[in-house]
This record gives sequence, C-alpha cells and structure tokens, in this order.
Amino acid sequence: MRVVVIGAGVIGLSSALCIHERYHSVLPSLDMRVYADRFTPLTNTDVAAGLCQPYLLDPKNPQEADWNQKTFDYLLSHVHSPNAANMGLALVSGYNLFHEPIPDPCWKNTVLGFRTLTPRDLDVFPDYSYGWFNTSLIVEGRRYLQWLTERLTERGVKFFQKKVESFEEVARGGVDIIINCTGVWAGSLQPDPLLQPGRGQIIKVDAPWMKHFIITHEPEKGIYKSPYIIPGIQTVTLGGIFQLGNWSEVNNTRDHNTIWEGCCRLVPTLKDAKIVAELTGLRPVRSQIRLEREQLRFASSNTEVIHNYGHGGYGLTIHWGCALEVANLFGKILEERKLLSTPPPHL
Amino acid sequence: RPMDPVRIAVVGAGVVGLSTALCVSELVPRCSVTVISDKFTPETTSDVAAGMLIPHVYPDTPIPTLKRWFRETFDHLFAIANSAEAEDAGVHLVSGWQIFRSVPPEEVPFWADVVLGFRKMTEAELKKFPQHVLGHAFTTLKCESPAYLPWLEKRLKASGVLILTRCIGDLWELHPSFDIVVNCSGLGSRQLARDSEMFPMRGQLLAIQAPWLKHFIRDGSGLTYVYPGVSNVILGGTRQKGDWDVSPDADISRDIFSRCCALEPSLHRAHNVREKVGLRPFRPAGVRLQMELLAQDGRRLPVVHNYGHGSGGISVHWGTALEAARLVNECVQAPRTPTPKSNL
Repeated sequence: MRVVVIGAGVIGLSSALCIHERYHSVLPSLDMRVYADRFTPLTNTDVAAGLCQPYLLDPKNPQEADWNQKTFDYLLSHVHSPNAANMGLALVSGYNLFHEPIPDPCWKNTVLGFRTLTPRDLDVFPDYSYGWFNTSLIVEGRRYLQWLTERLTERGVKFFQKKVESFEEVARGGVDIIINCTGVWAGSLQPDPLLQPGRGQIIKVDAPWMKHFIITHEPEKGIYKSPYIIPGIQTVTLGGIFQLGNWSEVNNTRDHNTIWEGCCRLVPTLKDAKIVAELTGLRPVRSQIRLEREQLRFASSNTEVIHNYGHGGYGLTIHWGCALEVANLFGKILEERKLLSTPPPHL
Repeated sequence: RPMDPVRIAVVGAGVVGLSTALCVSELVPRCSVTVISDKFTPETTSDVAAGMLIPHVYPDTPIPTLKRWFRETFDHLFAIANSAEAEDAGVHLVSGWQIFRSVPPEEVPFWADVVLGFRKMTEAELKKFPQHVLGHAFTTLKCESPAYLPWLEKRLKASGVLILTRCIGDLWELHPSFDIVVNCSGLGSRQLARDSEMFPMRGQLLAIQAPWLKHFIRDGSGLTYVYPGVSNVILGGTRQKGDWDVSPDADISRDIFSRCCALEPSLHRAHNVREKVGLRPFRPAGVRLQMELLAQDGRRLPVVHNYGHGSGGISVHWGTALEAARLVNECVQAPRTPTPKSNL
C-alpha cells in the first residue's frame, strides 16, 4: 500500500503521523513517503507565531469547531509531558482586546480560565475598552515540524524534496493513496477558486519580559489586520498584516512600519527590543477547509486523494483534529478495498 | 541666614534604601540626600530575590496598612510596567497560579483586589496539579532588582542624590555630618539599630533556563515556587531561621529542584542551573517603620527606621518608602532645637 503525502508543513506531517500511528500495525504493507518542495524552516508553518486560537466567529463548517477542540485537547495532554519542550509546546496566557463588547467565542470553554477583562486589566491598554483573558497554548512551528519529522523518520517514513507538478505524475508512479496537503499552492495541482493567499508579515524580537499574548481586533477590518504580540519560547512575534490575494513572499518596509508602530503603541517598552528576524508567509485562506476524498482516474486505475488544505491563519490551531479526520477517511478507503480484516478504529 | 538644606543620610542601598531615598528627595523640601552603603546592586539582598509582588503578613502591621503599602507599591510598579521604561526598570506583568494541597483558612487573601483578575482556578486548570485541591489564578508584577536598583540609582542621581560606598559600624558615625538618618539597613540593623530581634531567614534558590515557562506557580505557603523572569526562572525555596551561611548547600538545591519538578515536570529539561542564597531581614514583629531620637552625651540624632521587611521587601517597598519619607518630613517640619554645628 503506497501512500504519498504531498506537503511538509504542519498539515502534511501531522496527517502522515496520524495515519501511520493508527494503521501501520494493521497494514504491514504500508509504505509512506512525503513529497515536498519546501521543508522546515522554509514552510508557512515556520512563519506562524503558533498561538492556538481559532477565529472569533463560528466557522462555516461546524466540524471545524470540533477539530479545533480536539487539537487543543491533544496538545494540552502533551504540554505536561517530558516531550513538551521538544514539541515546541508551552502554556501561555493573554489578552484579546476590542473597542466594544462582543459575544463570547464558541471556543471559550476549550481554552482555560476564560474570563472577560476587568477595568483594572484594561488600564494596561488605554486604547481598548473590552476584552478577554484566557490561558491557551503555543506550538512553535519550527520546533514542532522538527519533532514530527523525527517521529516520522523513526517510523521509516521517507522524505523527498521534489516539486510535484500533477496528481497524475504521482499516481503513475504506482501510488495508491495521495494525501494532498499543499496548502496555499493547492491550486497548481487542481484549480480552486476558493483558495487565496492571505499574506502575513511578522517581526521576531528579543523581548523575554513579555509573558502574555496580546491580540487586538478591529472586526470590520478583518482578522489579523490589527496588531498582535505573541511570545514564543525564545523570541516574541509581532504581527498584524493580512493581505488577501497578495502572493509576494518578500518582506515589505511599509508593513514593517505598520507592525512596529502598532505593537509599540500597545506595549511602549518594545521600542528597545532587538529585532532578531523578519519573515513573510502566505496563509492558505479558504471559506472553509477542504477536507474530503476524491477519486481520480488515470489510465486504468483509480487513485484515491484525500484533500487537506485551506487552513487559513489557524492551521496549527486545528491541525490535529484535521489529521484525525484524514485518518478516518483513510480507514474508510482501506475498508472499501477490503484491506483490513477488522473495521478500522474510528477516533 | 536662610535655612540650610536638611542633610539626610539614607543607610542601605537595597530596594528599601534606594526607594526611600527617592521618596525623601521628592517629598522633603530643601533637603540634600546621600545614600550610604557598603553593598550596592548586584550584591544586595534584594538582588537575590525573585521580586514577585505577593505580600506577606507582618504581625504588628494592621492589615489595612499592609494593604495600603502593597497597593501603593503595586500601582507604582504597574505604571512603570506599562511605560516605555519597563524593560530598563526590570518590571513586567506575569500571570500564574497559587495552589493548595488542602483548603486554606482564608478563601480570599487581603490583597486579592490589588492584583489583577484574581479568581478561583477552574477544574480544568487544576488538572495540571493533581495533588492540589484548590487554586487561585491572578496576574501580578515581577520587579527584578538587578535592573530595578540601577534604574532607581539613575533617577536618584538625576535628582541630585549622592551615593557613597562606606561601611558604617554605628549610626553615630553620621553625626554631625547629617541632620537626619534614615535606616534602611535590613539585616544590618541588628548591629546599627542594636535590634537583637533581627535575624536572617535564609533562602536558597536556583536560577535556571526554562524559557518555555510563562506562568508562575506558588505552592500554598510559598515555600515552593517557580517564578519565570526576564532572563531566567527562579526555583525556590527555603526558610531557615537564624542561618547566616551564604554558601549554597547541594542537598538543598536537589530538594528544591525535586519539589519544583513535582509541580512542573517540564523542569527536568531545564539547563544552566545557578544556586543563590539570600538572607531575608527577618523581624518577628515585622517592619519597623518609626522615628527614634537617638541621644548620647548631649548629641541628638533623629533616625527614621525602615527595616525588617523579611520576605516581603519588594512587595511593599514603595509603600514603606512613602511612609518613611512622611516621617522624615514630620521630623524636618518640627521646630529645630539649635545645636552647635561643627560643619563648615
């Protein structure tokens, strides 16, 4: 059973791991490979600040709320294990700030200790009049991808640096199932008018006194267009750029200034923080995640494709719930092809 | 002739000495202030402390007064934390948990409404601490003396306060060069104030690298704690009564590490461990904040004492500094008995 995962960001590697963990013992013939033209530290996952927080509004697809919850619970169960630092995991608390009251989000009971801000909390942020405080998790993209790569390598999964030009080329290589985790570039394998880049730029600084995340919101402007500050394990990420349709992967001076001024206004002492890096990434924006099966026919055989792309700015937040669903779909394929003696575990 | 400026000596350059000198220089009109100490940052007792704003109770201080001292300190540091000087001054906000293995006698401590967002931990949050039955979550401040004390010194110098390195064996050495002495000598008051009640409450702690920790954890009475700071995480601690030994004890370090790992297992991966020891200036009755008029052989020397802060120095330093400055001011305003001055 030859399986190829296309894409080595968090979606590709976690899908690969979830499938392998669940099926390799019942499918001895499982031969899994990862094909990608970019590996860590060059993926979009590497640019992400890594805060586990879904968008404010309920997702269009209600399953996504469930996948967010499953991811949080999964990561939370690991944050107290000895693996936590290796996985790039840490608990972090912080603030979401608004100019006026808004309803509590659907994930208020997923995160820990959710509460609205008191007037004294708001004294810290004179430009804002309402907000939330809660404890969540960060999962640092680069560290997590390294950890996933180590786990997959231990399991004998092989990695190949190649740019896949078509599903057909992979299918004709004798592959039975393709997991399509190509993120923002999925359109080059199969046109998808719903998929667009949501360009983001971030500045990483040395600011180890920052122990809280601070995310400001201007709901009319849209998500991530307002300054945010997210501490990581070694550095702090400053951001606030979201440009729909912009494919440029180059840092932009005007965006740098927008981020810097916005974040220094929020936390004045940041003006002295040393800049360590500046990065641009392309969020794979879609009205909802494409997570579904498709059968493609090349020559005389059917190739199963499981699509898993379009996670916007919440890929790390939702990745494990999606990986579990991909594994479920994988199990259905095995069932249909009568490759399992017993029905596959469905989690 | 016009009134000469009042010459005030502040003995001690820890957090209490420096903040008191600053408050005096700002409150008392027409004064010249000199800070005199044998030790300065980073060699003071304050420099060892983690600097978490969580106050301790002093038996002789009424709760309303203690609360006022804490609130004044919190408000003072809160303003710094939110300003552009926060990094220079080593002051920042930090959130975390105080957890209990059995239900504590008081449900809500007196300082709950001074810190931010104080509430009981939820069941989900308590899962992190399976041996604990109850907890409080809140946001407070951390004030790190290795940065804060130099920052205070800068402000003192800008205000024209002089700073002198000298070892004082007796407060009378300051007479007649100074008109008023403010005694912030902490443990040194055992000798300088002849206060036999003063003794060290030895504290050993570990400074480690664990940058993934963003929350403080404090167990019950505060004997065991994990306090993430700007450039390290402080693990503690001990309370050893009357122990003057400033060299670290390896068995104690192992014990501290083990107690903290029980609360935060990820600490097993921590690296770069450094041991530190501080002698808290402990006084059974608590802070001595009062004026004493020393008299000897016809000489008089007003002394304002501000010492004995024990475990709570940083938590209440600004409140006690303000009160000490008020006492100095009262002393200055009181009609002066003319005494022969032998200065130039």
